[in-house]
Amino acid sequence: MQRDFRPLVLVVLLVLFTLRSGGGGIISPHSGKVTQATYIYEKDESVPPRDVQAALRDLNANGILAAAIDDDVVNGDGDVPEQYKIALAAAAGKIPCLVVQAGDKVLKVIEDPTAADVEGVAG
Amino acid sequence: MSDSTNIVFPDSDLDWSPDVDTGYPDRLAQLDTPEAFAGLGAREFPDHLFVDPSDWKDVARENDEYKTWPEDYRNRFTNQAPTHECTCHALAQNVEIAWNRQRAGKGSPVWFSPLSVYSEANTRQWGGSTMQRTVGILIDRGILPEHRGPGGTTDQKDKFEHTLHCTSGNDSAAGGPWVSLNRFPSGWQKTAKHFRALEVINPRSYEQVISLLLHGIAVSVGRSGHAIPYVQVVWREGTLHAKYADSYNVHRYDSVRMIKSGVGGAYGISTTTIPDDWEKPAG
Repeated sequence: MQRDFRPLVLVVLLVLFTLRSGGGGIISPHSGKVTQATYIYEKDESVPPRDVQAALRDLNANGILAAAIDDDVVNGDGDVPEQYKIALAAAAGKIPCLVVQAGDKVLKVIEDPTAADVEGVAG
Repeated sequence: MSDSTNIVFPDSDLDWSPDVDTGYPDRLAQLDTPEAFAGLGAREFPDHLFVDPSDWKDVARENDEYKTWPEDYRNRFTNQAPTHECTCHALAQNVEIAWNRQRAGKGSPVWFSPLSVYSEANTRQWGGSTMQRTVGILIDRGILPEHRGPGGTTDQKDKFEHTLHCTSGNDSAAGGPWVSLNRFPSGWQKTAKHFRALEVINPRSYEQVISLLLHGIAVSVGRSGHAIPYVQVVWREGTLHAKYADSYNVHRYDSVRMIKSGVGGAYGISTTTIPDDWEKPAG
């Protein structure tokens, strides 16, 4: 007798779709979707290029949290700002760089990024 | 696209000096020396920021194209009339620009209160203050947001625990009474500490002033009895001028001669503290 696996396949696909949509904990709800892009530089050595600054501003306009920060930045208490802890850790030894994140997950670190690299973040 | 290398403005806007005391008399200007700035932690101009004068126009055009002048990061005008708060209005513009430049735009603006620094810089209200004293206060304990914000006259009062009005002047939208430091809202230091300058650059030449502006860093200067923030480099009929956002709700322009006269007490704010969350800048 041949068994019909079609219902089982359907159930598996449904479960995977649900997880992908944010309904479960195995796949992050932010996986793949860029939420933050941070250009990190050392102010004693360089400044963000003008075209990169413009590209970062465009990311902000598109709902991606973009900023250009010095690697020694602190908050009002003298600590590393919470929102940049992950980016600054990922940037160590790669400055200047662009750290692209999806939530708390670092998607990529682009060393010495160009404006085109920044524009590419928006997809 | 605007073209900084070919602008028009009337002679009445050039090298303007107020005929009343605005808060930067000669006796205070003499105290603004490189040594005084070094003493409060300002750094000398970093070599990597120098732009060769032969490249100035090309870089200016890039700033036009990408909208990366200090002016492009500026929030608003302030009006100090008739107070002696000019150094602090020049300071507030500078720190607001630095804040926005790091944020890569004006998406999380904070409007700061010049009065919140001036009240400590000069506890007697009238007479003005030095440039180094006011920026030293910004480095040390920070500046308070003003009540008013982009969203209206009480916008930031709702957003922050401690705010102050913009000025003790007559500005109807932002003015209020003189407030001495001991009358600041209780616990105000908790909010001010989130808005401090981390790196202040003290340019030592006219060329360094122009280079900072070309890098998007506003330069506050005291000259001819009045302090102002330079926000752009422009050329009129081929001659270079520095454009500034005067604390009387207008743009005006300085000649090279005037720019050079203010170099000793000039500063740019390169970086400031950055919050844990841009939506909650004071936590």
